[in-house]
Amino acid sequence: MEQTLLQFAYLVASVFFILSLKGLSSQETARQGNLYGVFGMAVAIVATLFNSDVTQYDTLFVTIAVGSLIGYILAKRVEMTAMPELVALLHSFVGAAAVLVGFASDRSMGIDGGHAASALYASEVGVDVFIGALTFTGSVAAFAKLKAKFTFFKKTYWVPSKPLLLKDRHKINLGLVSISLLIIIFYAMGASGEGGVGNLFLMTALTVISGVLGAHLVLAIGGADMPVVVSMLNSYSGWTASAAGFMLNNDLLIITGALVGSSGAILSYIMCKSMNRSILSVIFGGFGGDSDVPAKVLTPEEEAELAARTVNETDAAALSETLCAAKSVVIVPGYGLAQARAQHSVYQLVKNLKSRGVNVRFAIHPVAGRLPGHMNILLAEAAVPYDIVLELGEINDDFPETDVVLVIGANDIVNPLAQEDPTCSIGGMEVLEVWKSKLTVVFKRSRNVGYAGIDNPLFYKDNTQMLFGDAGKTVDEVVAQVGSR
Amino acid sequence: MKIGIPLETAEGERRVAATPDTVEKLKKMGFEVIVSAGAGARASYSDLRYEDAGAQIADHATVWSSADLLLKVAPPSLEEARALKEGAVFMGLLWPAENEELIEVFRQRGVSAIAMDCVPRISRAQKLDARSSMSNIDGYRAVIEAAYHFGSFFSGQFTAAGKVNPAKVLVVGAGVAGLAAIGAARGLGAQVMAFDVRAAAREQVESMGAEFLEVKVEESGEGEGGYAKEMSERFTEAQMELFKSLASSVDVVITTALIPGREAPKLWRMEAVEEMKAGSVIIDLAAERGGNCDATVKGELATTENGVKVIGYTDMSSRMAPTASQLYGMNFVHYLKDIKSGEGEIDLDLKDVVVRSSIVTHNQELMFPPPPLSELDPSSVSKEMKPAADTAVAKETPAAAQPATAVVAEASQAETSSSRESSNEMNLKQIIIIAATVLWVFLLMRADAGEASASTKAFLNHLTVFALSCFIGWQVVWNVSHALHTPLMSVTNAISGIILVGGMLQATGAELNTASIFGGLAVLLAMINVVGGFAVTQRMLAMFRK
Repeated sequence: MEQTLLQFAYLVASVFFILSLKGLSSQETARQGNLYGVFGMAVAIVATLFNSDVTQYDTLFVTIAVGSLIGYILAKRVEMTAMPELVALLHSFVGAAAVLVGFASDRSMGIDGGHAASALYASEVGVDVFIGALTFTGSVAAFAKLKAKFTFFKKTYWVPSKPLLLKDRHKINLGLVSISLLIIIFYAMGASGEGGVGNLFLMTALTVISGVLGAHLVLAIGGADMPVVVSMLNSYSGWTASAAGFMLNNDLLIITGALVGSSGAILSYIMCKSMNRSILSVIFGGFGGDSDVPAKVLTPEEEAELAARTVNETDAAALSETLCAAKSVVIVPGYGLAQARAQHSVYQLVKNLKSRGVNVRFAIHPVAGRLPGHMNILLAEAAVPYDIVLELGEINDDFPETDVVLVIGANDIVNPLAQEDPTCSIGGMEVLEVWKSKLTVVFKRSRNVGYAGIDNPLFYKDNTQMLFGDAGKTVDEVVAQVGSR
Repeated sequence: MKIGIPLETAEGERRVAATPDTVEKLKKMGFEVIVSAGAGARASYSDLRYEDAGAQIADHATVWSSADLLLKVAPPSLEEARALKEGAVFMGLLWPAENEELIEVFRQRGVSAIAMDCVPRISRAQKLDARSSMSNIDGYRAVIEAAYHFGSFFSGQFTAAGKVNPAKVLVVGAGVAGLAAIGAARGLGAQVMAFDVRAAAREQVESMGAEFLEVKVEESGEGEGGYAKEMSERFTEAQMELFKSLASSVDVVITTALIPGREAPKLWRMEAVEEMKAGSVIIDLAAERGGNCDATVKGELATTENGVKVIGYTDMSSRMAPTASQLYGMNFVHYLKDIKSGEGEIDLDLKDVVVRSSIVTHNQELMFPPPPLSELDPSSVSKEMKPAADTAVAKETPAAAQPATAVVAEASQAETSSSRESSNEMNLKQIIIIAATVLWVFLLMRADAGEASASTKAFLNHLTVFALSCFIGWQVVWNVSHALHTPLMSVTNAISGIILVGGMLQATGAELNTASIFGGLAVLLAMINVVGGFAVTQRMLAMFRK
């Protein structure tokens, strides 16, 4: 294919990708946006196939066919509650592909018909492999943490969601980065000048070291901060593609990679902002669970006071009575809802209450769940109409006029300490002010603290009632009670 | 500790400081309760019910002389105050700025007097804020009184005999009372408009289903010394103009504007009253403090020459005595829960913001006015401060700053300083961007001058493309709604599978070689990503429905 035509096709593909992202800005245009993405990808693949350099069609057709089939099956079979895992897994593929492309470039460097070797080119290959391997292992680590439970040969293994906090982890990270840089420099030096060639040994070493770095960065992050991690990895996978574009002299890769990279970066930024954390601490890992503020030392009186606090318990029957008498109900879902797969039961409850004239809405905190927008997806799966699903900013002022708030499987995002105690680990984080409502009912499995590891004074407030038990079962009970009323 | 609930002796006062329900709660907390015979009669609570709740019934004088802690609604008379035990605690609405003589009696007798009307407006203290709970009732009752005196339906009606338009209600001042009035008027089906000088009130007003009115002040274009003052005069003028223009079309006006410690601002002037239709109703909730309307007569229903009924009742909440007493009684229960030190004992901790702000006399010392809230508890100012509702139409800060207004000023100061900080940040960003651009242009020029190899030039071009794409991505993604973040992620995930182009480009040459094997594997992995990402996005998006 003519070089100009190829460039034109790449331009068209890039435009489609931009339109795709733009389409996702609203529910009405989102499906169209996805189609634009598909078009863009199709144009890019077809155009590349017509590139005169590409000759091994048999290899390509087989790999494309097999890859498509696997991808299609994965997408069809995944449950919506497992979306975070799938997204993390897919990120790892981009990383792995980038590493492979880097290795391929290394092998073809300086040989006949391959790319001429130069220090600049070699360092581009090095950077590509570095980011690729980091993305790969980071995503695999995130996947493992999100999935938490693996079964191999009938044996079950658990991956702890607690952060792995090595003593000198910042020094370790710094060391790994410096070694990687040194390897890239050596590699570039080996490729410079006449007759320079690639170096498979150095590439492998670089892959291993940056791989360790990626896994270590992600393992140091606590379970509750996974949404940020996943979107950060999304961003990395974009930068990986961009780096490959620099290496291969391909503008399409650069443009697309930059689009994805900035998109992921913005998502992470939004997440961090709503958790009141600095983005730098996410990139370097090990935030959450690592607080510079020493734990508050309690005086004996304070301790006694804490011990003396009691919660008000309620049961399904009493709650259904309250709900039927309420005018306005807000439901705050959290990760516990996903775990209990209670979204369908919850929507059944919503429908029952709505038919009784109760105004029911959902309040979604930006970091609820393990993926940005995770709760929205779960509720959409249960066919909850999106116009009753509101964001923190849209609903926070409405709590004082709300009769009943149901907090289902959420903890830190409704913790008043975030406002009252700026020194605690979630201090300054924006939270849903459920305690301002007339009554808050918390569905909770046990009295354990949330992921942030701090107590929640909400549970002890006069206008809070607790409904202990598995969220799925308790919601079903309430549905039955409301239905029979 | 023995809590005394006396009979309210002030004229027209029907409320009582405790109901059988709150007495029961006080008993549970370990207090003894003694109630004057007939104290709750006018609020429909019989002595019998108080006795059932565990209270002891006694005569008026005994209650005053034996109580260690006296809960009251209206400020007591001077004789009553002198009857109180020395060193006792008094809690009630005191309006200390206006009742200096009474406060002096308390001080001399060593009574610790707590003014329930001075509880600071911080979120922790909301449940014990008597002004809020009473204002809420005032607002509701104002609408009921208006409906009673207004000669038509509030909701529009289509009858066989003809159509009746809905009543038009204007609420001036969207504080607690104003918002309650909006809610009640909407509930009756009226068309409601509301006015408030605080822009922050807009959202609350609109969320209650009323239309928010704005004053259109023309921009003068210059801002020399005294701008703010001038602005506020112009504002007041424009506000009067607005009211005058509305006067002929509204049927009911409810004014709720109060400035703490000052006479109520005159907002509904005679000119506006004259414009109104005969039979229209004005409810002036500020009548106690001189009224917002020129035609208001304190405590009475007056009819103007052009037939407008002006209601200046000062006992709105007292007109709903049973509920008002219950809510007011609960304010006491919450307050006492906060300062309780043991079974039936209290501890007046002057370090507590709520206590310090509301205590008026203590140990024969005058404690009023309290230091501004910002000094007592700086952390509460920025976040917890609710807009001081009743200062709604305040046009200038009173010289003798009361806690509430002082805090408003404090909060706005904090705001300006934080906006200044962010503008500094902006400057830094701009400097970085300019520096980067200069560096960029320099590099490009050097490259153009032929001092760089072809591959370096290509690298610089790629860098340009990269930066532009980042910018586009940045611009596009900010608009994505939160609910779509997961689909956005899976789409970008699919798109980042574009790396497969890199793999494809390695599949060169006639035969399989190391490079093309790596390339092929890359294509396979990336393709999983592409198809998986797009398919799962499609699946998710198909689920969203309205």
